[in-house]
Amino acid sequence: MNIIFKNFINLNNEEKINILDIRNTDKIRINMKSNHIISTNIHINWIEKLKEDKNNIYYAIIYKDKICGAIYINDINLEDKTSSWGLYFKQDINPILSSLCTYIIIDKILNEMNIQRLTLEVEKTNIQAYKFDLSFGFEIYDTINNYFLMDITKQKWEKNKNIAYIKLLEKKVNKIQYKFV
Amino acid sequence: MILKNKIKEIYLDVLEQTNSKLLVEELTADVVLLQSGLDSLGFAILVATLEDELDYDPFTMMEDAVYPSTFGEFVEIYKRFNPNK
Repeated sequence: MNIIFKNFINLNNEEKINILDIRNTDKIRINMKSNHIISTNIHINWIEKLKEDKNNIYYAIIYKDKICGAIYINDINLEDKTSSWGLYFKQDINPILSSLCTYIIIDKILNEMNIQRLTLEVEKTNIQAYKFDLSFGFEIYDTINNYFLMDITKQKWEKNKNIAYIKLLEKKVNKIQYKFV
Repeated sequence: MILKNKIKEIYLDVLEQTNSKLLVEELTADVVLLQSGLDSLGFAILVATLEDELDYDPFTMMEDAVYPSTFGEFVEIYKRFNPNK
């Protein structure tokens, strides 16, 4: 199993369009804060701006030579050691992939990037995503409108690694190959 | 049959481990996986546990990144890629 996390700024034109097509699908858009359809021009210009952006990183997830989703790190604040994150995957993708990518990205943010507190927002009606985040150890610390605001600290993440199913996931992550490019 | 039963047994174990519930009366071949009670984390745990038990992961062996939609298709994939068949 080989997963490539390719920074949006390194995507070729075809890959940029592929990721936009996934992002614009109804299933993904309805769970996003800005849920309108994004045009190609706006998308390409936004990726150009990401080259100068030190606070936000977006990765396309490539598995078996196909882009199947994205994972992103937002609001990176190296002084406060905080950031937020999110992900989306196209439909009918192997669901194992989202769990492995989630483990990889949380561990990267909290260990490699030395972030101490990681947050996320999930729509209250998106029960599946909410339960998924709970399973990884995120807890609700506030709500805004229709969103749960959840967080996890580095300390809690390290403690959670002792939970049997997280250990199993870690074991699986250690068996696969992945790289950030 | 032995393989199918093994998968079924581990599937139910993983449901319990992840505090999930079987959302159908019985885990039959036509049950849609994503409506059966396991979320994507549960499936990752299921595949990782099966790899420990069976010594292979068919999803890393297959060429396409497709995923079975029913329990029957899930079992068929394990049968098809079983190195000991």
